[in-house]
Amino acid sequence: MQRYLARRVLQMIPVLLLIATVIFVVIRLKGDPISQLAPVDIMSKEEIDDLRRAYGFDRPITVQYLDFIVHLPRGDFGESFRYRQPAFPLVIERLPKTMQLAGAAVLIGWGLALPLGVVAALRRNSLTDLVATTLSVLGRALPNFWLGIMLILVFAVGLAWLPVSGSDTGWNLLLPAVTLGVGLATTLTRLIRSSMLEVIRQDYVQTARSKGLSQRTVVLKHALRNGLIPVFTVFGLQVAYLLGGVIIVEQVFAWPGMGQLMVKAVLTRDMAIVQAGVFVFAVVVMASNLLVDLLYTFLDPRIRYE
Amino acid sequence: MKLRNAARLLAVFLLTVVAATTFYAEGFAGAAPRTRATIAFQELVTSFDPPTDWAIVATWIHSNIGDCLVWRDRRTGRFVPWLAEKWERVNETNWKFFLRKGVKFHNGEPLNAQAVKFTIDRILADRRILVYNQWTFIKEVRALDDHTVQIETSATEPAMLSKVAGTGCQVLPPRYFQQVGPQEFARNPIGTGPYQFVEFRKDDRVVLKANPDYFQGKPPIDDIVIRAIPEPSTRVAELLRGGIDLTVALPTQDWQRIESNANLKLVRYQTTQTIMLGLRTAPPWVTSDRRIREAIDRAIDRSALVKLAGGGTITRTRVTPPTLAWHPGLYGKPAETMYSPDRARQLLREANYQGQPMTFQSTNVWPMQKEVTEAIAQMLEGVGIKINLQIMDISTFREQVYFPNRNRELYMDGLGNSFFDPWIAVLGYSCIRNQRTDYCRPDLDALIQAGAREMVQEKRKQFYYKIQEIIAEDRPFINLYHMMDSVGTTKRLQFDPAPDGFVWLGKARVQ
Repeated sequence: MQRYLARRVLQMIPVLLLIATVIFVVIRLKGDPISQLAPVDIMSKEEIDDLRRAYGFDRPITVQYLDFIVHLPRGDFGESFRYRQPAFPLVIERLPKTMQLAGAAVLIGWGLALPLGVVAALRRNSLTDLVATTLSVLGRALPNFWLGIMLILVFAVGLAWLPVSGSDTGWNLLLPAVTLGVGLATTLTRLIRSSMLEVIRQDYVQTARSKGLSQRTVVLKHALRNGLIPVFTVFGLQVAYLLGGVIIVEQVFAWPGMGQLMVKAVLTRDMAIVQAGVFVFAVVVMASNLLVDLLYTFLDPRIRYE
Repeated sequence: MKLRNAARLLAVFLLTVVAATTFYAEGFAGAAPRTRATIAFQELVTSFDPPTDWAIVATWIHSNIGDCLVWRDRRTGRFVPWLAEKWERVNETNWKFFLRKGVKFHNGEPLNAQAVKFTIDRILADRRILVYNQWTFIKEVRALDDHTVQIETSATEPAMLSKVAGTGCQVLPPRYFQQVGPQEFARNPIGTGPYQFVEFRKDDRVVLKANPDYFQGKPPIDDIVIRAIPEPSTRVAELLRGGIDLTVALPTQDWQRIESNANLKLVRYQTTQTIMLGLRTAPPWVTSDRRIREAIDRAIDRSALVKLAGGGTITRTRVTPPTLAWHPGLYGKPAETMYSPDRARQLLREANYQGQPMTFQSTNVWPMQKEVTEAIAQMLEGVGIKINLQIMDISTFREQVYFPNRNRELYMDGLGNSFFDPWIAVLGYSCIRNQRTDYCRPDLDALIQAGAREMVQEKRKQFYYKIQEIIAEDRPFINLYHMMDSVGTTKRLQFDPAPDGFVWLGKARVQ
């Protein structure tokens, strides 16, 4: 297991390097960052060139790239030119808020999907199944942005049960987490349903039933455990989707996490922040996938990593 | 069993993470005894060091913490004494400012001439400071005594007061600044302003408290919370719910909702922004023919655009009231806006226009800009001009069109003038700044230079009138309308927004 872990961590290094290179290239393909910095309508070309020199954007692209790669291992992504501070700490200090929101969304997503998916599979073609499947398709079709605004209008403005935005109290977390969690739940519900449908037809489940075990024991102890393996695989991949959603939801709910910082950085081409932010997101996604792979050993004792 | 353990472990872990970072706040506490107003902007500052952040919201926040030598009255365009109780022009290039006595920074440090000298010298010593170029008109600052400072300009400077009230003008406390350094100052600012800095949570809020020793008297509101809410519909929802007392940049489609709410009021104000078209004026562009440019101008119904944008004033000049020398013959005259589709068609025929497509590039950053752009395209198509419309987000527009000067026949722009002086509004007409229009007239350059140096106001006005008339006739830019924007407030907040939307809360009250 330790060798496997070490190998997986080492495998991350070239992937992260590749990601860093892609970010570096893509950001620069988009154009000149000075255009976002300078009050261009009152600056002459010479004045703009001066500013470009001051920020080192006049250097050859290869020199800028080598400089970027050399500093990468120390977490030095350069200085944000909006904040005039090192970019990495600016990103990291917002990470807890984003993880808090993502964590709550995962809880809500699983909390909704698990009972809905299982019940829909066990009562196939019933009204419950129809409702669960319809809700899951409907939920999937709702953009995060729209759902967030609707939840605000109903629960915060209309009913005045919950705060509209911000992060002052625990209640502030509920609406953005539900917005994100619903998206996750819709995918998971359909997967759990189809996976469970497949598993409950297996011989060992029939055997368990014929032994006279209760429905609850058959489902929870025998069927669900195996049924969850493919669901977890997809869940690992959904983490990237979830983080993408976080960016939008943080904007809507004024949640001060990485998402808000990233959106502003992208709009203003604050390269250092974008580079650091995407890099951190990449690490989180890869770590989540590793975690999911390790979780398989708990779900299925036959799986061993050597 | 293992499954159950794993699920339990995962759930406990997630619950712990969420709970540990969530239910800590003061949010369940009772009502605070102090008066408090919460306002929301699209964003907050990136730095509290005034000359390093030139975003408009940042200048509003800086102005509540710090003060400048003079203050622009945004209704009249006049300058009123602020930290300087009076000033005088010594000669062509020297000005004396007499500082108010007894003013202290929030840390007790006295405001004196050395502080003013330090503030300006520090900008002039660092080219990386964003507003550096706005201050290079100053040659030297001398502290004559504790409360008199003399500023020498490189040349005669009629816009002196406008410029010393410009971005980054807030006077800094030299002792504190040198003691903590620029980075720490940018996080924990000290000023002389109506409010003292208390707390900053990035992308979340700035908390300020009233300065009891403010030279204009303690502000009526004890605490100000300035929140960042980037999404306009969320800002509107917060206003409707009563979570905030004031917000800006409201979507046009929400104006009615706010106006019909008994607890809220919508205040619409004239910005300093003029919406205009920029045109290529040299071959090979089809707009190089003056008649075609005039046809474009005559094809556009400015009154319809103003209606579509939700308000505004039609204009054929960028120098708009209350800026000095705004041209009464070119501003706010519906009958003289040139609108005449028939004349436009005739001009196109005279110019032998063969239906060559014109690329019209625009963005969606100002209120209803996308709709206004589409309406203009339809008006132009209506007289027979073939339009290739490109609407893009502001970052793409700036990077791929505006900044590299890759604009084609037509582009839409919206330019403000926070200086309230015409020198900056006409700068873009000079030959050295013609990269987006190719427009160059040496006689106009001479007028621009004369206007920037003339100290006799009446003579100066005449230079700017002439410049505006030439531009309206030559049409390297076709000015369309003076834009409006809106502020939404609760009725409990007594705050009268400035005509340019500037949010200064020194006199605001809550009921």
